[in-house]
Amino acid sequence: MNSSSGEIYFFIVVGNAILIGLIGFILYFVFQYRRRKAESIRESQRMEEKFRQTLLQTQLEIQEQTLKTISQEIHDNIGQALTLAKLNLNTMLPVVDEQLQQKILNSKELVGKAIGDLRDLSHSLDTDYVQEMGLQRAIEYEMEMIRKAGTMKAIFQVQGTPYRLNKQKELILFRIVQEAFNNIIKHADAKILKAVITYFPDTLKLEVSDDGKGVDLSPLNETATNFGLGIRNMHKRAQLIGAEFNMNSTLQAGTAITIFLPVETNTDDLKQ
Amino acid sequence: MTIRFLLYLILLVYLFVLGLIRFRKLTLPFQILTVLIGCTLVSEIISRILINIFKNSSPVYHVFNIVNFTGYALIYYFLLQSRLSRKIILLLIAGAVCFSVFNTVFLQSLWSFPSNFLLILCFLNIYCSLLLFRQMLHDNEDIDILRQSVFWFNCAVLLFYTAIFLNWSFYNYLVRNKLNTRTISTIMYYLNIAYYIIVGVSIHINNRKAVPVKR
Repeated sequence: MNSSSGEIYFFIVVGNAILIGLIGFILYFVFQYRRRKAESIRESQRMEEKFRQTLLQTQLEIQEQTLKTISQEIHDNIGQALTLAKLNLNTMLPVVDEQLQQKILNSKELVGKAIGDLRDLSHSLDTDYVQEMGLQRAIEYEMEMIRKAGTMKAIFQVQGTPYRLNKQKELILFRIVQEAFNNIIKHADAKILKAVITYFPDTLKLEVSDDGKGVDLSPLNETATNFGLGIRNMHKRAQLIGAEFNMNSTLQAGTAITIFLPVETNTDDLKQ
Repeated sequence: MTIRFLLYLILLVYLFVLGLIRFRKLTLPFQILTVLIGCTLVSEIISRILINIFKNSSPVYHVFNIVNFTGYALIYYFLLQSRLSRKIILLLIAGAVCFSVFNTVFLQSLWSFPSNFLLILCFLNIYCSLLLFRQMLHDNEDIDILRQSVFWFNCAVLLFYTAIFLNWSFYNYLVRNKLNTRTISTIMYYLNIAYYIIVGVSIHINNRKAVPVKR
C-alpha cells in the first residue's frame, strides 16, 4: 500500500466516522428530546395536581372559617338570646292559672333544650373545639347528638390502640364523618348507624355504615347531584390528606364508606 | 444529460411544485426554503447551459452561493428564537456577502469554482443547525419529534453539509494529487438527491397551524 492510498483510506475512515458520529448524535438527540418531553409532561401533571390540592385546601379553609363564624354566631347571638329568654321565664312570677303555668314550664324546657342543642351544634361546627377534642371524641360527641335525636341507633367502636393524628388530618377526617352522618340522616332511612375506628400501627381505618335503603352509585360518575356532590366532597377531602376512600352500597341493605389513611410514624402525623 | 442529473432535476421540480402547492400552509422558514429550491433549480439549469457553451459553470456558483447562504441564514433567523443568535445571523449574512465579493475579486476568479465560500457556507449551516438542535431540546413541542418538519430539515442540513464539507476536502486532495475525482462527484450527486428527499419530507409535513414560529 503506497502513501497516497493510505491517505485516501484515512480520509474515507475519518469521513465515515464523522458521519456515523453525527447519525449517533441525532439518535441521541431524539432520545433526549423524548425523555425531556416525558419529564415535562410529568412535571405539568405534578403542577396540576399541586394546584388542585391547593385549591381544595383553600376551599376547605374557607369552609372551616365559615363554619367557625356560624358556630360563633350561634354561641354569641342566638345562644345569648335564648339564655336571656330562659332567664326571663325563670324570673317570671308564678301565675294562678295552672294551664298557663304548665305552658311556661314547657317553654322553659323547650328553650333549655334549644340552648343545649345549639351548644352541641356550635361545638361540632367549631374547628378549634373539634381539634382540641380529637377525632375519636369528636365522633363520639357527634354520635351522642344523633342518639339524643332518637331517630336511629348509633353504635361506635374503637379497635386497636388509639393514637392522635395531626390536627389538620383529624379535622378533615371528622368533616368526612360528619358528611357521611348527614347523608345517612337525610337519605338512608336507616335504623342503625355504625362508626368504627381501627388503629393499625401504620394505617388508620375509619368505617361508617348504615342499614338503610342503600344508593345506586352508578349515576355518581355522570351527574353532580347534590347527593353526589357530598360524596365527591368526601372523596376530595380524603385525597387531600392522602387517604383512600371507598364506598359500597347495596340497595335495601345499606351503605358503607371506608377510609384508609396511611400513618407515617417518622413525621408529625402522630400526636400522642 | 445523465440520468442521475435528470433524476436530480425532477426531484427539484417536484419539491418546488410541492412547496408552491402548500405555500399558504407552510411556515415562513419553509416558504423561504421553497423559494430557495426554486433558485437551486434555476441555477442548476443555467449551470448546465454554461457547461454546454463555456465548459465551465463556476460563474453561476459565485452568485448562487450568496443566494443559498442568505436563504439558509434567513430560514435559521426565523427558526431560532434567541435574540443573540438572530443578531449573529444578520451579521453573518452581511459578512458572507462581503467575503464572497472579496473572494471573487481577489482569491477565486469568476471562472474558478468558489470552494472557499462553499466551505464557509458548510460551516455556518452546521453551526446554525446545532444551535437549532439545542433550542429544540429546551423548547419541547407537543408534537412528536419525528412529526416535526423542523427536525427533518435540521437533520438534513447537518448531515448534508457535513458530508459536503468532507467531500470537498477529499475532492481538493484528489485534484492536488491528480487522482480520479469521478467517484466523489457521483457521491455528491447522490448526497444532493438524499438531501432533497429529506427536505421534501419536511416540506410535506410542515404546517403553519401545527408549528408555532416566532416572527
